[in-house]
Amino acid sequence: MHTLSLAFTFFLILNSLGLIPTVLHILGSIEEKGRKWVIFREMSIALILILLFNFLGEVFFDWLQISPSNIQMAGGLILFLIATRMIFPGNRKIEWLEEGEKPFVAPIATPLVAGPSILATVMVYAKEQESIWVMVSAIVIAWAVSLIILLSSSFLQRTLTDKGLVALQRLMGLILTLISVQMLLQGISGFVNQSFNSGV
Amino acid sequence: MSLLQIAVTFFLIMDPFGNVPAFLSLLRDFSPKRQRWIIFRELLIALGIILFFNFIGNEILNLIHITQATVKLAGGIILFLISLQMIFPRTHHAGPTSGEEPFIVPLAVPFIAGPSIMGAVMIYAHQTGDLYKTTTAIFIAWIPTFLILLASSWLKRVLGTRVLVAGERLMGFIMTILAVSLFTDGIRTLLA
Repeated sequence: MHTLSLAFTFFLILNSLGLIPTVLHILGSIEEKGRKWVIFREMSIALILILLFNFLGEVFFDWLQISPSNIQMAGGLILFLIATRMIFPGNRKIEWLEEGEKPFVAPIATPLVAGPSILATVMVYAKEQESIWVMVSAIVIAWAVSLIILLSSSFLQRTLTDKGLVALQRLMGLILTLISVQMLLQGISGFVNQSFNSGV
Repeated sequence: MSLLQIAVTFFLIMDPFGNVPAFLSLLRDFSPKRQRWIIFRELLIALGIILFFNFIGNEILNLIHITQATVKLAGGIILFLISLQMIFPRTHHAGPTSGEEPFIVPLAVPFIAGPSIMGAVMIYAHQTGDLYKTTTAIFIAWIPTFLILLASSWLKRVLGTRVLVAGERLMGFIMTILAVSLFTDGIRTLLA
């Protein structure tokens, strides 16, 4: 897969637009200037976590001896589940912070930004990809765009309003569905080729 | 299937991160020392039950003439369903504590030694046909589960409930991969 298409997939999963309302809510008590710094700090922690799981993924699946086609199939299923969640977000009200608590690592860095979805996806792609540099640069590109979006979150919320943000999130979810089905089909055809054409 | 693959699968199904909140809420009335003792006792009971199913699994599945392919296909589907439950967790309704000490139910059974791990153990015992392998895998999976639960109040303080839920979801995602791998293995066995 091309670096840019990988980066686009990661960007969709990071779901920065969908995070804007939650992040603004959490940072509500912090003044404008400090907010940017907190977002930057939390995003940097998230980046470190994602890169960590990227390296972990390569080792982990080798260990478990899972074939690439299986990883593709499972990855397709996982992406599909993530996409469904983006298209039909439950309106669960979660209290992310307790009274007077400062956001540090939790909840913004993890699980909001570096959540289970992106970590699992990165692990899956890391195994699938030949070169680690493609992965790292794709992650950094997706991260940088998400960082810019989150830094301008109050501006975006003003111009797009909450409804606009939800609509955009859904659109991104739909695109992610396409990517996930494509990945699933690739996995299935890989499995069929490998199992039946080579006479195994 | 390698020993490690089986052990990782068992560890994921035992779902220690998902069980931390339930353990904490049920044990909150006891002193830390007593809590550690209860966790140790319940986990030993769970281990005994899991090992029991490991030993009888093969016999039962042989008794009803189940083929390898069926076991793998069904196992893959069951694992996939379990992983879905971990990805979309329902809140544990522990209910109010009665002040009584939990004994066997609900901590040992069904929280740790639940239907999923019993089923999985039976399936793997039959599939590998090697009891030493599955027994070792059970022990390898049990030890970190035990340590995580022992450290549960510490983990909750340091990580917070949200991160624990995220950890459970991540484990669910990883389990999806193991489920698919078992399922495709089954298809290959069926058609071979």
